[in-house]
Amino acid sequence: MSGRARRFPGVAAPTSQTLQYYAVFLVLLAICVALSLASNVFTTIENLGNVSEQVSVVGVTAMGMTLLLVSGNIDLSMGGQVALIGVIVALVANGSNTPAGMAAGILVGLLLGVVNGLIVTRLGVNSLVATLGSGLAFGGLAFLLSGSQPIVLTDRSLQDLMNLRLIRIPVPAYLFAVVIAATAWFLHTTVGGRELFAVGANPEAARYAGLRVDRLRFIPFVIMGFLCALASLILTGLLNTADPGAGARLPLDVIAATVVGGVSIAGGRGTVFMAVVGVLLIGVVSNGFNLLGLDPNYQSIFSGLIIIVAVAVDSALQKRAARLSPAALSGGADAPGAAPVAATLIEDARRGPG
Amino acid sequence: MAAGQARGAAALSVRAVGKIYPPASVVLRGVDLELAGGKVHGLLGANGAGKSTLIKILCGLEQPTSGGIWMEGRGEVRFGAPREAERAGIGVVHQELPLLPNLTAAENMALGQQSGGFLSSRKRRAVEAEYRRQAEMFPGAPAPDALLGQVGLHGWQMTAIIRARYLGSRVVILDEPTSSLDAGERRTLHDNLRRMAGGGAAILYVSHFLEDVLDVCDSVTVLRDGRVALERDAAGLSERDLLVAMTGDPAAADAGAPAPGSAAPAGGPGLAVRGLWRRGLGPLNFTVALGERVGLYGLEGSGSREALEAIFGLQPHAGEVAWRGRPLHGDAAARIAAGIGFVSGDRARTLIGDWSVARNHSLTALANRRRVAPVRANEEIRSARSAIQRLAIKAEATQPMRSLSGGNQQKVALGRWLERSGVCLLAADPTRGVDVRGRRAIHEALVGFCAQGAALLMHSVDPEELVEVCGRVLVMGEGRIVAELHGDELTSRELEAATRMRGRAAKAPAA
Repeated sequence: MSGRARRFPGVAAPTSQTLQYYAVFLVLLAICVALSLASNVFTTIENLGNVSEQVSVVGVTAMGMTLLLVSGNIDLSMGGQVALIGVIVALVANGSNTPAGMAAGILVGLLLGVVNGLIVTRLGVNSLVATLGSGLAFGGLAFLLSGSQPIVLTDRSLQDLMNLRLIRIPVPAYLFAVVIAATAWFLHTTVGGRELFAVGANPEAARYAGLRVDRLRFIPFVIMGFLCALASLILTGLLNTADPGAGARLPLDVIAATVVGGVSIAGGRGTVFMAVVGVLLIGVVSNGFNLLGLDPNYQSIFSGLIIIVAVAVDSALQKRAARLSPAALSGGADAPGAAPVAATLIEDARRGPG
Repeated sequence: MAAGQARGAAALSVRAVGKIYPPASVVLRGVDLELAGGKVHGLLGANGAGKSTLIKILCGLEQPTSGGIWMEGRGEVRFGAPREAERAGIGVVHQELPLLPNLTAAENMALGQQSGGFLSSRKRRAVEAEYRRQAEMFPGAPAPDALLGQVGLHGWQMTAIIRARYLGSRVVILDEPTSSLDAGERRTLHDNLRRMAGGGAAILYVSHFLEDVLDVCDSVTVLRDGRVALERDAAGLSERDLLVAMTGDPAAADAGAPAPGSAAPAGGPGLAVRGLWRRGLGPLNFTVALGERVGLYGLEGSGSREALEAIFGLQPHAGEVAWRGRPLHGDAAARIAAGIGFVSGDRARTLIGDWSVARNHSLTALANRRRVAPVRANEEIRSARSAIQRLAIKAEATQPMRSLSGGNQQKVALGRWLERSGVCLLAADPTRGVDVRGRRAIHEALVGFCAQGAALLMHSVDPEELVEVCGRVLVMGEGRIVAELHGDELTSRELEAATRMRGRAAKAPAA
């Protein structure tokens, strides 16, 4: 164990994470190998291009979700955001021109992110509840603005852009790649990324170290808003249509992908690379079901099972890691489980009379 | 099993218990321990000596690798889970007591023992009557309908003891029971333990505080490096005997506390607090000169800790705070940049267990760097190594924080601030749960640090600690400074006397 720690100075990857790291990656490889044997279409450039196009919407927003989960929050409103932004892009594009529509979409995305961030950090509403509520509102607004009808874009330039292939690779795949690189850079190499991990792992410790916890929690919401706008542009472009009902399933797919990749719902743990593996896993599985001509309903069942298995494995490994650590009870700064809860309760109790 | 009965009298005996954590961390190497009914038995040991592991084995959180536990009338027992230990009659009053703050004292006593969901009013009355009966012998116990979240740590602890009695525990384990109690509460606790033992229970009293152990215990076991280093009756034992057994080194036991600091300010304006005020606190006026070490003595709720948090910028406040003549404004990040540091004994709040020592070490440096600036992993490790060397921390820079002992964790929390010179360090109970040796090392580090143009403002609930480290102590009560002691009058007896007078003194306007 210590040998591994030494080889990667500064990176204290807990055992549990390391194991899951390889497990999910190996599952992805195994499924790819199985599919390439089962279907002679899977490995064609054409099909892989389709896969990358299909995963790009989930993938782009999954990067935002990774930042949010690491900082200890979640965003369930992203489906509503994507739908609302799409409708606004279409309305503005049809009303004036496509570039104006795209700009409006990105501005609205940032705005929606700011709204979510303010509700969570200023009003102190739990992010799960806050974004559940705001997501419903955004979705409702999308239906209202569109008259509950999909809006077809009259100008085809957005569609042309998103369907363009450079060196046989579709534009959305490039966008996804750029977002991956930017997120990985921020989360894993900058001071701000480190701060997000700290806030997610132990907000009290972050506060006592002078970190601006509220401001740090705010940032990922705004980034998420921007990425929702990007995802919405991709989706609207690919279909040449803004559908107010689009994105209803999106939050679930995105959370599934990130969680399967080992990003912790509890905050403070996760890597961009593994979140991408999670996205690809869900995408490849979906592609496989199509290629093999299976009922798409099986796909939902399969995805559901994968999420539960991934989280159950994570939880079991966590427990084992805690048991193996001799200091978990005596001096463990944040041993998972009951100890920190009890410590917090006692702290509350102490403060009670004062 | 036959052997178990042959030994007879002990309510609980631990025989040759060994514990190895894979791959090769040997924590206990054949420990024997006998607890007799009606007696209080002390368990002592430095951090890492194996005390915590032994307690975990006794309360069913861990299983021994070798050896076993025998209980009177049951033969050899094995606990797969805490519930099984509780059912066998072992009650634990732990540092992190698993009671619920949103229930009443009586409900907590009966927690998990009642069938059915919520208590009906008839059942509630029955439980409260039972609580009164159990609590009768413990003066000062919380009222049966008092919410546990509002009775303070002492009331919380007492409820846990009452619960152990209610459950008919024949063995009661107390883990560091006095670490946050004042002198009066400590006396009450010890009286209660004697009463409980008088009723036939065997009590295991685990503590860092030698004085407390000698006060209440009938016999003592000292662990060192996973072995029993001393086991005998407490009568005739001195603190020095215990220290020698704990450290295994007579010279270390004789080494005195760090040289007492001179009360005279070393020079130059240091920390100046003028009219510091917030709800329930102040107004406070005092100064700490450069090189000076000033204590803030007060119990939970006296405002000492709150004062430190306000000065560090964690709590909004009115009034002025200045360091080296420059006024401090803004949040904690701004104050860190201006040269203020904060170390708390509450490690769960200041350290991240999953992170490496190096990352924890550099956590406080993040606040004042640009967010898009790159993290400097090598720089962090280099800096952490220098702190490790300076404070003799038993750890590697890349080791996860969680795997360090409490004392070493605390040194990491302290080491963050010692890199810079000219820092005003605010310390809140900085040695909570740290053993004698670790305490001494931390005290020495604090004294040495201040000698280099820094300043220290330290809060502690332990008067002796303040006498040892500080040249001057401000006594707080009800959010105000009620007394100031220095020179010859600075003794732990005087400090405790000063807090008792706070009722009268608080009425007079603080200077």
